[in-house]
Amino acid sequence: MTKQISNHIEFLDAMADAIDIPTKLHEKAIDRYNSIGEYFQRPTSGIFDRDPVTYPQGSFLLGTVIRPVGDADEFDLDIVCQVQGSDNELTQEELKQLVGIEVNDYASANGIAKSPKDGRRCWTIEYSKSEKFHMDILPALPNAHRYREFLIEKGHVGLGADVELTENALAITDKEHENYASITNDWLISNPRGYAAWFRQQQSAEFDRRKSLLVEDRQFASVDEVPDYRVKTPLQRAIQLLKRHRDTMYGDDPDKPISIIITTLSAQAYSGEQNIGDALRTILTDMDKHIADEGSVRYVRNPVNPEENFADKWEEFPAREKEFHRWLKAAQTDFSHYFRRPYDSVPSDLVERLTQNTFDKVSPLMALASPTVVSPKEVASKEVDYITEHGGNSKPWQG
Amino acid sequence: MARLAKLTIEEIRDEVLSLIAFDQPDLNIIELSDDKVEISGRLFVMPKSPENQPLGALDQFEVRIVIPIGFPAIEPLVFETGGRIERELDYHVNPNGSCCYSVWPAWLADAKDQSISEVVSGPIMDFFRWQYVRLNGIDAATAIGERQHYISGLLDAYAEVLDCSPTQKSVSSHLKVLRRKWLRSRWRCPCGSRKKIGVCCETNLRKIKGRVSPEIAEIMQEKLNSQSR
Repeated sequence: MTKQISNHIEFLDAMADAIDIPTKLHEKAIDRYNSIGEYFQRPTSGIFDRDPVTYPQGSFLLGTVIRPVGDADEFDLDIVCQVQGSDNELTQEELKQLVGIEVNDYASANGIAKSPKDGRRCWTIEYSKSEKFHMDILPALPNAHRYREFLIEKGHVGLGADVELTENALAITDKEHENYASITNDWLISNPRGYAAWFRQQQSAEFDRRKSLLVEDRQFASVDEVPDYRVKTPLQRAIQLLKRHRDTMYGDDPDKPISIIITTLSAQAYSGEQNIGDALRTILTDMDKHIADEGSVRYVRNPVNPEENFADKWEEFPAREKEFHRWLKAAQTDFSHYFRRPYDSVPSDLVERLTQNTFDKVSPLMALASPTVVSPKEVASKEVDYITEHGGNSKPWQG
Repeated sequence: MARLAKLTIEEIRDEVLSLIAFDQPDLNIIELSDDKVEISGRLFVMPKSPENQPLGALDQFEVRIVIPIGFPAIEPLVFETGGRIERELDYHVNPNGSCCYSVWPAWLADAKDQSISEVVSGPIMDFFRWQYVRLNGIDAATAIGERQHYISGLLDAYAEVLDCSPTQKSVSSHLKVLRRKWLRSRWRCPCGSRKKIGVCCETNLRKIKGRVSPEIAEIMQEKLNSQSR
């Protein structure tokens, strides 16, 4: 980061960049899940015959991962371990343990001191502190056929027929499921790659445009060579800033707005804006319009499974709905006020929300821009010159 | 041809909420009744010039804006409440602080989107930008322009929309044609040529009719009538 900052957009881009996962750490995370994937695929692996595939899910896959607020805190790297099989020959418990054996072996073989944790749905590998992240591994079976049937049965015919959004649907394990230890076909369903495909569709034009710019800039020889994680669209950056704003406003408060709601509503509101300022304006103005009301129940539907309501806890915990709206109001106020002030006069409320530490990393770049002292009359004259040249200012009248 | 929206008071309120969510964060709804939504607070005047954009808002004015039921056919009333603008006709502010910010029917005809956000970021912001320029020692009337008072300014604004000469006769003839649902080639052309529309200004008139619906033409005519009295 050496580029000077001379306007609001550049400042917010730099802030988003500073809270993003560093490229080196991102590449290290990719190495880690590739490494575990290769381990699962070795011929002596207990799941070798089941053709295991690992891939990231969640914010790593969406490109919206952010650094934890505290420097000592770790990144969450969520990955899926998908094995071939069917719920009529495996119980959820058996799948969890099959993958668990390999996860434990991997940890031992790689000198990871702490034993992997057997969580509700995932196995968690905690690397040493210096690695700065831990990995949640979600055991899963492919489930596209049943997922499509389910969507069609529920009346979502178009979505059920959409190959791109449904072909990677999964059946996942859950220790609290009543049939965890029995052969049943009522496993929980999940579709992280389908969601990521939907998310990508929301920003595809801008994503492709930015890839082309990297090629034009000679950073890559062709668009196909640009890794997705090297491109950050205004939607991704806006979500990163909003998540950081949320994190500092709430800490570990269980009533804080959850990332999947912020991400889904932002992607629904986004309409292809080409810079982060316009994207934040559209998102913060319109995101709550995508919350559906049905009687007293609010819905933030999973776009690739409308039967799933990301806001399902709001009914049981009304404080969560209230806090979502309180957070949104605060984000609207903080970002909007920044745009009403000179770009290098960042309101203290926004600095606090995005953290002083991050601001301190970025603010020296604002000082690089050569200061120009312009009198108020000169500023007004520039307005007049622009209006004279471009027109479009309506004229006052006296009727 | 799109008809003007007939907004309910709830729809007007929702448009106002969209406006104050981000674009004008220091305006607040102070009254919501069956017949109007009233907002007040600080209105930020944003620059048009890209060169000035890093500076943020150019200025801010204390305002009260009343959006009546019937909007957008009926225009919002805007009052400058901070006392920064002299209550003088030459500055387009009435003694009660109400601002003559534009020739409303002409804006209706020209606007691509007749939402409250567009009105505020369009003619209302333009009005306060004009005042900002003037308060910074520049003769805004000369530099940016203004409409003459009363009917002559109205005719000027209409003539620009209708692409005709700014006389009451010419404007009225055009409005008479545009208030009709259909345009007939056999009618006499409103330009005064004594020819039929079909062999005179038909192409141009059809283009204008695309923007000036019979409903807007009616609103324009009513305003003209009230100024003529």
